Parts: sequence; structure tokens; C-alpha cells
Amino acid sequence: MAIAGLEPPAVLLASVLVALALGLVVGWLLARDRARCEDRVQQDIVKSKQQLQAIFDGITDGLIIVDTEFRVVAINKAEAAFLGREPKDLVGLPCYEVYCRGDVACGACPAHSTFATGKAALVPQLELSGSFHRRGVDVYTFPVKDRSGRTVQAIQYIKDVTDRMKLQQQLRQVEQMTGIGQMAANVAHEIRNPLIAVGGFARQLHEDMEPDDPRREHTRVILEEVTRLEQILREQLTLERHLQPVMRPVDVNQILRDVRKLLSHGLLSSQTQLVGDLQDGLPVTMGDANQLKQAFLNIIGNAIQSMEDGGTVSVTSAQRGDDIIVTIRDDGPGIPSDVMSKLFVPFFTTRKSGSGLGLAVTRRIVENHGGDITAESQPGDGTSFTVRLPIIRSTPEMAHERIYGDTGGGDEPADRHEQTERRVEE
Amino acid sequence: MTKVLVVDDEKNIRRLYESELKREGYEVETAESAEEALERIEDGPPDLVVLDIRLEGMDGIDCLRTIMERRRDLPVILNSAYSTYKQDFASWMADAYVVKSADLTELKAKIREVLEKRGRV
Repeated sequence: MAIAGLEPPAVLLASVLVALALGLVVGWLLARDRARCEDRVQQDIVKSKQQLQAIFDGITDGLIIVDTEFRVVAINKAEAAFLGREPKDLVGLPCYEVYCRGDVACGACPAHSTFATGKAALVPQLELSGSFHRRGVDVYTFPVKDRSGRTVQAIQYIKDVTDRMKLQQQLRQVEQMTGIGQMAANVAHEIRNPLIAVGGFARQLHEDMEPDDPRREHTRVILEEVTRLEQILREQLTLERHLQPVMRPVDVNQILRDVRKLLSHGLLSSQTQLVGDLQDGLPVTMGDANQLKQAFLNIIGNAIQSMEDGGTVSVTSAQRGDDIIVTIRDDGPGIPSDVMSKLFVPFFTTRKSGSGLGLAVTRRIVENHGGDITAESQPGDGTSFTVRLPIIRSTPEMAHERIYGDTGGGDEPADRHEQTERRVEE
Repeated sequence: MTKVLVVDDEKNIRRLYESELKREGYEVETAESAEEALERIEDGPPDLVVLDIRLEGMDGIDCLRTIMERRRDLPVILNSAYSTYKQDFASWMADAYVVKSADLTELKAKIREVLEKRGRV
């Protein structure tokens, strides 16, 4: 076999050379392709990592990945911000140190279950404190498994449900109010009349006895206790009867001064001071002066009674926007947090002789005026109550209502109304 | 003797009021319902009526209206366990409103005051 003009060995050499060159070219091309491919894969990985990070940080609920030792592997921005830190400062720390300031994993954490079973878990309605505020959360945990199926990490998904928990708490309180309140109102009504007969005849016996009769001590106790029961029933009825305020123009500062006058006769002692800082020229608002007096009397009275060893109660009033804000602050022992949540619940009391209705009535009054009341306390560092009353300006319709009442009988002359009203209040 | 009519559906309250008011020197009649009270007023009008509001059948407010229609000059003191009726327009027709209590001092004082004002003592 021969190719024209060339000897067989030369042909062989040329073929080898061509094959070699081709191989080199193909090899180079392949290598270039693989490099390109790897490059793309690398880029894809970076891209999806960035995407994941963006999702991770973009989620406004908290996300934390922890290892089996509960050390933070990753934490998103939202959760770090809640703790007042940067994500990078938290990686590597045990999460229980961050949340519970403890030495072992928090007992309630659903990650325990996820590590034990390899399945997702949920613990609802936990309370977590952050650097600025507390929040109520549902905590979900999901397993991250290695190739052999072992759970090596857990993703904690922390959903803020503070608003829902607050609403539920309010609902529970309303239920308590209406349920217990209704029953108590019925009981109160049934008890009232017999009590009047008991007390009335006891008074007669008491007065019939000679002044030195030793049994007078017994009738005195009966009378005292009947009076106390009557007081409780009166407060109860005030709470449950609709307690519609009779709105007239009132000066909140004057009401506070009246309260001070009322208290100066009794509760205030030499060690307890009541100081006021009332803003001049506070606008007149519509309100029921007697009810508001009762409301402030309850709060200030409580404050004074809380300071057994004396102290200062300061009362301030000020206008803030469309509201009048009254703050009552004491430097007493403060209110423990478990008591705090029940502060306005009817029949809840820490005092032996209290009816547990004072603050419940107060809140009802303030709410009937369209306002609200809040309490803040640090144990050992006093308590402050803030009452917000929206400024209601008198309108012609209201003036009409004031003169003729809202029950519709408009033909009674106004002066008779005024006269009767005065007499009734005497 | 000045005659006071006590209207209350609770027997022991009527007893208590009767006993206390007799000691004050009044002649006391009692009625357990608004209907009975109106009959007694027809039979021989008292000088003053102490009227409970929550009653079986006709209530105290309607009873007060009827009395005012028939005898405008008859003084009436409303006496209820509840202070909320004070806001009831009709209750302003009464001469006074006393919240019920085991301590009858206020009621007795009001009875005296109203009778004096109306020149019935």
C-alpha cells in the first residue's frame, strides 16, 4: 500500500503527527469546556447561596439554624435585630445563653423533640424577651439531616404572635368580666334586701341597749360587717349596672384637686406625701365628674395604701394632642409581674379586706369615657398608672341632651331637671 | 298623726321600715305591690309614700306616674337598691331619691325634710 509520492514510513509518521495534533486540540477544547462548566456551577452555587441568604434575611419572622449542641450556625437579620445584635456576633453562641441566659437548653424548646425524633415540632405561645421588649411567639423546628439520615441541625422558625396573644388575653378578661360579673350581679341583688333587714334590726337592737351593755360590742360588730358587705355590693352594682356616665363639661384638674381634698382627711399620713404637677389651662372636656373622681380616688388611694412605710405619690396632668394624660406615680414597693396581669380583673385583690373591684371599676369608668388606663411597675421601684382621656368638646346635641336627658321626655321644664338633679346629688 | 305608706315587696324590709318609722312617731301603713299601694291611697291617702322601684307587676316608676296623675300633691320618696334609676327621667318627679341601706338615717332625714317642705307636719 502506498500513497502517491510518499514512502510508507513517512505516511505513518504524518498520520501519527496529525492524530496527536487533533488529540491536543480536542483535549484543550474539552478542558476549556470543563473549566467553563465548573465556573458556571460555581457561579450557580454562589447565586443560589445568595438567594437563600436573601430569603433567610428577608423573612421578617425569626429563623435560626442550630446544631445538636444548640449552637447558632446561622441566624437571620430579623431575629438578630430583635436581640439587638448583628448576626455574625451570634454565630457560635449557644442559643439558650442568648435567650434564657442559662447553662442548658431551654426546656420548652421544640428542637429537643426534633433532634430526638427527626421530625418537625411546634411549641405555641412562648414568651421570649429581647433587648427592648417581650414578645409572644410560636416556635417551629424542622430537622436538617445528613446523608445517613441523622438529624445534625435544626431550623428554628420563630413566629411573632404577640398581637394574637394580647387579643386572646383581652378576650379571656372580657369573658371573666361578663361571666363572673353577671353571676355576681345576680347574687348581689339577692343578698342586698336581706342584708338591709339584718343590718336595720341590728341597729335597732344596738340603740335599744343600755350604753354599758356588754352585748353592744356584738351588735357593733354586726353593724360594722353589714356596712362592709353593703359597700362591696354597692361597688359590685356600680360595676355591673350599665354605669352610663352623665357627660357634662369638666375640668380634670379640678377633679384631681377634689380628690386630693378628699384624701387629705384620711389616708395621708405624715410620712406620705401627695404632690401634684397640673398643667395650666387644660382644656375642658365632657365627662362625668363623680365617676372620674371615683376613678382617680381608686388609683391614688391604692398608691397611698401600697406605701406602708410612707413615700411620695405624684400626680401630673398634661395635654398631649387630643388627649388629656393623667399620670399617678408612687415610689412604693412596685407590683410583681404575676399580679400585674390581673390588676384590672374584678375580684382580684392582694389586700385582706379589699373587694377587688376598685381598679376594675376604674377601668370601666375610663373606658366609658373613651379612654384607657395602663400600669407600669418595676418591683422595688414604684408603680405608675397612666390614664388617657380623649378631649371631648361639648356639641349642641350634647347640650340638648344635658338639658332634656336622653330618655325622650322633652316636655319637662329644664329648671325642674336642674333642681331635681341638684337635690339628688346632695 | 302623720301617715307614711311604705311600698316594698320584701316582707322583712316592710317590717323594718314599719318598726323604725313608728319609733319616729309616724303612723305606718305598708303595701307589698304597686297595685296594693294605689288602692290604699284611694282608700285614705297618706301624707307621704316611700316607694321601692323593683316590684312584681307594676314597677315603682309606673306607680309614681299614676300617683302623680291622680294626686300631684302627694309627696313620694323613691327608695331603691340601685342608684341607676336616678338617671331615669321619670324618677325626677319624685321628691327625693334615697339609695336603700341598712342604715335608715338618710331615709328618715329625707322623710322629715320633705314633710316639712310640703307643710305636712
